[in-house]
Amino acid sequence: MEKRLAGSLSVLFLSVWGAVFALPLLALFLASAQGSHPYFDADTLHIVKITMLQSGTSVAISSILALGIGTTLVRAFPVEEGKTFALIQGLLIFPAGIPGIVAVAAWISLLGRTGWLGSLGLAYSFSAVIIAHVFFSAPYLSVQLSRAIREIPRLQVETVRSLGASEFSVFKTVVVPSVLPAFLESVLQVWIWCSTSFGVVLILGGGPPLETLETAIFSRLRMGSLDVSGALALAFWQFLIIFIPFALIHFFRSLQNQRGTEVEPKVPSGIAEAKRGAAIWAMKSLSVFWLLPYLAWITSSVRDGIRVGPRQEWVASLGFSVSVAFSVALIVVALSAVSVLTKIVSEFAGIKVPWIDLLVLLPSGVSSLVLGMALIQFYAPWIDPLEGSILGILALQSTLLWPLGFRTLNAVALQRQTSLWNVVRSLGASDWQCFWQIEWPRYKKPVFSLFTLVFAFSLGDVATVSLMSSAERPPLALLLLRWLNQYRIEEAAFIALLLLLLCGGASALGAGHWGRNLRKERS
Amino acid sequence: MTTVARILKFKTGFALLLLLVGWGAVPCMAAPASADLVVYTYDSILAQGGLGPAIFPLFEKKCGCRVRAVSLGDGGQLLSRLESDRRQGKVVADLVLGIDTLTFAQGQGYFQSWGKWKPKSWKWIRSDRQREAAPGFLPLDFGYLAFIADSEVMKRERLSLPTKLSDLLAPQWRRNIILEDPRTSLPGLGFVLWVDSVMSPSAFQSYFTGLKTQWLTLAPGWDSAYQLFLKKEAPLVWSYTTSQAYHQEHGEPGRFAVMFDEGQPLWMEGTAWVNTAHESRVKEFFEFLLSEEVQKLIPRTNWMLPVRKGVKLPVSFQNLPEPKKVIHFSTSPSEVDDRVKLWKSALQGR
Repeated sequence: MEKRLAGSLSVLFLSVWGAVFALPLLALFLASAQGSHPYFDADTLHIVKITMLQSGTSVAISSILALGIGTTLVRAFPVEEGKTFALIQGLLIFPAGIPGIVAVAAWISLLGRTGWLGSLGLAYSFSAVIIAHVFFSAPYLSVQLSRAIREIPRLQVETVRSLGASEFSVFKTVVVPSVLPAFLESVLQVWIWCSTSFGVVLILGGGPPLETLETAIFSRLRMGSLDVSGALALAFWQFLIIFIPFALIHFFRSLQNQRGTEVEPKVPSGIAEAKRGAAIWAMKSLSVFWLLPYLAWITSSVRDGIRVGPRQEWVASLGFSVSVAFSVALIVVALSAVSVLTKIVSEFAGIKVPWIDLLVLLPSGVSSLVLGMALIQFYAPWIDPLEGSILGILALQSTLLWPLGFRTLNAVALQRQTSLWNVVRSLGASDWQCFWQIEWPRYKKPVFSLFTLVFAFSLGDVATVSLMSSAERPPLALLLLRWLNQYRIEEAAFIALLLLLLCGGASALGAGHWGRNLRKERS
Repeated sequence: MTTVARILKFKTGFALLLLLVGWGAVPCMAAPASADLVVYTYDSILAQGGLGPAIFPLFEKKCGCRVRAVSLGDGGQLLSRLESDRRQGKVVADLVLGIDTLTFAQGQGYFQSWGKWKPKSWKWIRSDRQREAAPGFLPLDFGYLAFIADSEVMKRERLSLPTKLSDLLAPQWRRNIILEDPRTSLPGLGFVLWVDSVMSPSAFQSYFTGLKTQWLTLAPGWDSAYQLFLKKEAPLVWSYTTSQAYHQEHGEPGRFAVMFDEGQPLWMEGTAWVNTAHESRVKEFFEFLLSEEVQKLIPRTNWMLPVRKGVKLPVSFQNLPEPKKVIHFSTSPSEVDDRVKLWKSALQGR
């Protein structure tokens, strides 16, 4: 029975994955296989080098900062509860949800010549790109790290301490091995964000010669003379850049033998209890610090003037964008749930399915422009992008965000409470009741958090919607570009502010809910 | 809360969500209305306050027919769309409105020849624009690409106006110019082709090798470049002379076009015929576009100059500076491609 279910789920998973990702991409590669692709020409290799240097520097700095901030966050809030915790966590996640187009405007307000830090001369350079990436990556990594630290069973820490181990030994023997797998997963996510970063590199980097794979693909596909061959060569490298760290992390994990480790029901970690007040104060200041560019941008926009554009234009765009974002968030949660369920059921049935992790990761290594082009060509009879294909937008955005959803839910699945499940099952409960009572409470917060984050990403996305939306009903991000094109700067500022509040607010709400909900449960 | 109550609550929420999704999605999925004339055009022409909303109702009234305008973003997307139509074996558009001469040359294979026919109003087009229009291209409006300066920022940075291309290589202009990437922006491509038209190939390469340290940023499009300029990030931006008219109309005389000794490149936009199925309607529309009724709307809707002679211009357009020389660059796709490659190698110092 379990084997049959596992088989059906695998077929479902592979069908969806094949339909939205593998087949269109394969067709695109085959269609352009006749020509020779410039995989190893000097230009391509230079772009690869810049991409790796940029992403590596951003991730390294973010990770170092996250170690300090994440542990301080745990020191300040050993358990996830309270309004202050919810607010601080929400503020820390806020920058991760901001659309690139708004983030760039914000950074120009801060680092640009007329900005607060204009005298430093950092704008339009490699440094500016790194700073912008660190500002959204470091707080995100800090939150993920703090969550991982809180998952460490107190008993384990106390046992090592009772054997006379020093704090450093506890950190080395308990904390590091426990949090490393989850932390590396988050680092991989940040690596993906930085290496596929588009708007920040394109505008804040000052343009060529600073060019990364994503911006180079854009320049090859943007104009009338499509350089599909060049774009595919770059897409191949982009895939490798994502795949290699993924393979290393999984290899490392297999050495650690952490997979499927069962954790005890969560109790407050005893890693840090002293100096909590100072830590809370530090976290309050730090959480606001990451918002500096947005505060600078709001201030300068208000100074330059913000005007609400014609209601019939932006309200329609808002309604359309929200609808699409909701749908994409639902689809991503569903796709991720199917993927995780396939894994769990297969493992129950004694079938090993390590390929699921790899297959779901692949879309994050492909540029949205390349995948978009593949979908358009493969489904040409059914999807007419220029007429405005809502199906095309949903398919493209959901496929690209699927890896994020899978990793979020998979992290929860890895820590399933098998013994508790068995106990409840032995009392006569059905599988559904076991899931509802034991597993769902652990899933619902990450699911909500994932839903809001995907909603924010979809709402602020420019690249995919610019490929497939109609002019009659442009999403908010495209309306913003259209108004900029027409010198309607003050009205465009209003749209940007709306996007900032909606996207940042949604992601912060998801992260904040994490804390508030836990408090409710405890009470 | 019982499990049943939870499920009910979830179902209600889910139903509301579906309603919300449906509300936004249905209009987007609705089948397009049938039309007597299908026009492919750009986003900015169709936007509120643009040329499209001003002229399409007029034409519909005149011909008693229905026009359907499809926006295609920019030049690159226009050609992709025509290619996509061709692959699917369908011809949707009757004509393309707002196409520039570079994109027209690149997409020659998609457009119909006029044969011996010419619009009756052709004689009303300025003679220079008549000469410059390639066969099958109906001129609609034009302008000149130029640097726009911000006097306030120039004063702040203690800069004097450049008068020739070589002035931009002076140390005072280091990181003081905003340009567009020629691979992703048509005005940006216009800049590269302008330099190419007034310099020898070797001078072209060394010019860009020197210029790459001078620009503050190479923006992906005109919109992002101009936004940075309006934020006073740099005193010079590559745009159109007609941008000066816009600023004048909005009480900003400090932003003006700078004329160079080398002259300014001409930028012309027009219309091309795609489908012969509705021949008489297309011809009627071509005549309509050249009428005074339409041409007088161009300055304040499309921020370009009309091609028709004798159209009364707003004061802001009458005050626009004339180029010292009008530069015509090559529109041959292979030559354009070569220049972009040369530009790229200059940037990489090869």
